[in-house]
Amino acid sequence: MSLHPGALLGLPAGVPNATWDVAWWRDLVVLVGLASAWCEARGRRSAALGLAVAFGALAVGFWVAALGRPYGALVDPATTRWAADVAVAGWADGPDGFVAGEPSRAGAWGVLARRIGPARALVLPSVLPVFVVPAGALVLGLVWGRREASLGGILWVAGATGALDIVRGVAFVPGLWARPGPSLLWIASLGMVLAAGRARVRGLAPVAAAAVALGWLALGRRWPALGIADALFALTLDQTVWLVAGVAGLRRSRDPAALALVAAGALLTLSRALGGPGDPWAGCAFLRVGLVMGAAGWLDGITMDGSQDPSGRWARGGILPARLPSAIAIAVLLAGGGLAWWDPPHLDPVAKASLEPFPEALVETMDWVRAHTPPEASILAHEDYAAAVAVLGGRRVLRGPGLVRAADEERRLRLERAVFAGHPPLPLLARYGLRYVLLAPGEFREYGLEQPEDLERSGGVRLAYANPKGIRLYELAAPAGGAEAFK
Amino acid sequence: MNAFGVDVRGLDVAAFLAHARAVYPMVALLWLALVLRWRRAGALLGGVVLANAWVWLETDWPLQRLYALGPSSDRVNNLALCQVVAVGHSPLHTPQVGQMHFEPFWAVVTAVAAAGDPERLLRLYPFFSLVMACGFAVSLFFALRPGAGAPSSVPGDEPAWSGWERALVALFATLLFSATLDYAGPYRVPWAMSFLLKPNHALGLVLFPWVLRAFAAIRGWRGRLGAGLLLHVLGWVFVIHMGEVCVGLVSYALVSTLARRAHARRDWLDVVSVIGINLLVVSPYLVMLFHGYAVFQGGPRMEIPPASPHLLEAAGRVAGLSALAAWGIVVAWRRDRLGRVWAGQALGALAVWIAYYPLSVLQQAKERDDTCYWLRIHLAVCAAIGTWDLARRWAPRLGMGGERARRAVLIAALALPFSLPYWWDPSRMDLYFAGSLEPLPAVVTEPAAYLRAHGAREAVLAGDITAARWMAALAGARVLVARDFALPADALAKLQLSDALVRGGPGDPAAEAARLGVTHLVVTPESLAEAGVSLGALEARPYLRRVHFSGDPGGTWVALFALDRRRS
Repeated sequence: MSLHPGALLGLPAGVPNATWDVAWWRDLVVLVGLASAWCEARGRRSAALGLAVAFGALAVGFWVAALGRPYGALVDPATTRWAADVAVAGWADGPDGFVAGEPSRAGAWGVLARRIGPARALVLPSVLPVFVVPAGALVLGLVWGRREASLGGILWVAGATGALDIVRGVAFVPGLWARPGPSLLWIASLGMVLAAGRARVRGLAPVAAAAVALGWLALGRRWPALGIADALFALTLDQTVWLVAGVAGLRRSRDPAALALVAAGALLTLSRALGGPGDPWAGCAFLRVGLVMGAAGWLDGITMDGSQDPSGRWARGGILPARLPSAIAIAVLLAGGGLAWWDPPHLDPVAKASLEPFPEALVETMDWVRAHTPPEASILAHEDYAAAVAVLGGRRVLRGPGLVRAADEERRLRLERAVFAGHPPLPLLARYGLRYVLLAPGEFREYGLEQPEDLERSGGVRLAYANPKGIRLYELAAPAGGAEAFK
Repeated sequence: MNAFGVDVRGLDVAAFLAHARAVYPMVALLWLALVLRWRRAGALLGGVVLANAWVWLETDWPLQRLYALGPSSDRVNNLALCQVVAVGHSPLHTPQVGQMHFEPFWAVVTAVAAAGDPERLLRLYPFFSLVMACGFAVSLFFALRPGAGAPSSVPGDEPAWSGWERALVALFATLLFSATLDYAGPYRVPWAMSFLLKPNHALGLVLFPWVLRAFAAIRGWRGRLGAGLLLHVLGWVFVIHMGEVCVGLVSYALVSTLARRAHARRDWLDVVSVIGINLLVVSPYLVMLFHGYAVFQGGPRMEIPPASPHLLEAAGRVAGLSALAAWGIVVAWRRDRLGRVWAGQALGALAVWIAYYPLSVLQQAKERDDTCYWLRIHLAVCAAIGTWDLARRWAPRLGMGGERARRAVLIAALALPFSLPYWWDPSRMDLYFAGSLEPLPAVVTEPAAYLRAHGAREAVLAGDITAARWMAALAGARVLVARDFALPADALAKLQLSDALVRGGPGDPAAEAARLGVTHLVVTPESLAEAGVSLGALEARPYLRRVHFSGDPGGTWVALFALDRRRS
């Protein structure tokens, strides 16, 4: 089983390499950005939009493909919890989460995992960002309905993620990996407001934006939590050129959808900063897209001296002088924008850790677990391996230390102690479906184990699997007369 | 204690930095409002100087030791180079006995500033960064004054090189030549690396605008001689900057020829004369550099880092600045001789940066960081010129007419979110900040204090090369060999002598040590373990007398032994 995003394209783990391939890839991405600007200068805006979309997909796609594992899996506790629940829902089925007897948080992802397979479902959130930025551009270009819509789409690719947004912690693209659901919701919200703005029904866009804002507020307090000063800077100075050009454009166009998005974005950000519900990530992105729409209108309206002269020297080179300002802006904003210079391994410790593929021995062990253990069986594993048992092995665990603390944690600990003492009570084994113990060297020393083999001394176990790294899986033997209870 | 003698042990560093970032934009906007009221370009320059000081203060205030002293090998070495001069040794020599120095000017400056007191030098050193950052801004402002070369004006009857334009040049060149995400790149944040870490190199930045001014003002051989001599001073300060200026001058003459300028012949004469005079004066030094240091020694570290898109690294990360700089080069070239010289420098800096592609293949791509910062600075200078010109052209559309104060303030306000103090977070973006928060350990400072109190000027240390380097940096003691310094030609023999002093042989190590003037042996648990000798055995050597011991006898410690030739 290959659990890295690049496998979807048939790439082996480690290809592309985040160190050796990033330089030429960045050159390529910037070249595509400049090609987009060139098309804009020649008056071929659809082609420019297409290339900008390609720019966005390539810039994000490199880092997606470079991930050695699903983003955050077995690295970040929250992502690991989610991944464990999804994997167990897909491979083991049943209503429980990855900790036996505890509720699942997989939700719709669990349903998806059962339908398309857990491996694909686990990788999907890591791959989604490739599509979200282009989707935003296409939604703007196709749904907005104004003359400058395509330019807005191009500028969105350039402006979705700024360097200051990254430093402030509210950047759109870096936040996508950890927010697969909200990212789709965000695109849908944008489409809804734009469609309402296009409907030419007076007041519909603000109503739609208000509905969107209320919907996001209803999701409660979401991270990152910005202080009031940070929130104010995020909404003003951090917007840099977008604030100036956006305000200039919006003053002229008074586009209701753009204005409504700006207002909704500011509300979501400020509300959260003041201690209420809200989502600064979504809020700043709504504000940015509104300003980008304003900036597109402003940029489209700029005329240069001699731009109306069709026989000018620019025109002789196939360049439309009227498009030069927007072309220069596209070149500069794409080539120097946050997306082109986004460097997850150096900016995001979770992304850096996620470049590492899962250890081969671990994957082999968990492949065996999935293939040879009953789906309903749960496994007792140390903190080091409990998450891996669920995420990679697709089996539930008795305890998930560091990830989940069950309501009956004490009872589970009692059972754990009893297993290592060699006399586990049958009712408890049955209650949690506990059938196996996974051991690696150095684990559970508190129970007197120096080596995994020491468990065999206490009796009542059968070696089911062992690998050269010393990982062993023991099956708890059913005590005589206890078979029924054991089931 | 921090650099101001304030106890900052209880400082909540994260909160301090967060407050600094939150307050800066408000202070900056307030200052810009005052500039608008005063309508004086000098006030804008004052704001630029204060903004640089802000970054320095924000970074330095929480530190309980000199910035990067310890985390950065460069910083320890540089301090050692200065301290030996401060105690009274020749600026032409490094702390390693018998080795010639390759950047002597800085050591003289610091020694004079500290009035020959190594302890005072330690207290003063943090402030050199402040002086260099602010000095560069001020230097640009004054060195670009009209008057060098033919008088000129820009269209619209505005004087060229107005105070407002020069203040913006100072702003761009100091506060905008670093980009927000530079800290994730291979060359880190240029401002911090130039001014905080290497004020010695930054002195070259303060000086070079005057070299260019002198060149632009050449009227005859007297001017050429003056410019050549000034250029050679730059070489004493930092040879890379001297080389870069030379390439920039050649670029200037080359473009002059390509553009078929009437004065191209004169331009070549000026360039060849100035560079020739410079080379003539510094040639002995250059010969020493080539012979004493392995200048052409290559290696895998002398290649462009694999993860760095080389051309984009310097220009693409600051694409907006680069685009404005492209226009600024055109504007400057069309303006006057001074403008053309600056445009030539920018083109030369770009040419050097591009030359790293073949140099990398030859494993000779050295000093990439300094070259990157040099190019960035020139891009920023030209970007300011281009921005000022574009603003002049667009001012009527914005209803500002010819009012230069409002135009300059508007540009400064627009630049605010891109300026370094707005986004600078040393705890996240600076490699050396976290490692500089704690004071230096006593095991390092106490032996140095002993040496300072007992004649560091005469001391020559053998032994542990790491400890020896620290003694050079903190006390100004000279050493046989110091860690991370360029190895002297007889390094092997000196290392063997250190080893022999510890082991007690072969031969008569005390005699050999006396011949080289060695006065002390410094040892640590690591160096003794490497030699397989105990501290007790060392104390039994007839030619050694323990004079100082600091640290934990069971853990980390440093011991100083005086060499006593009579007892050998």
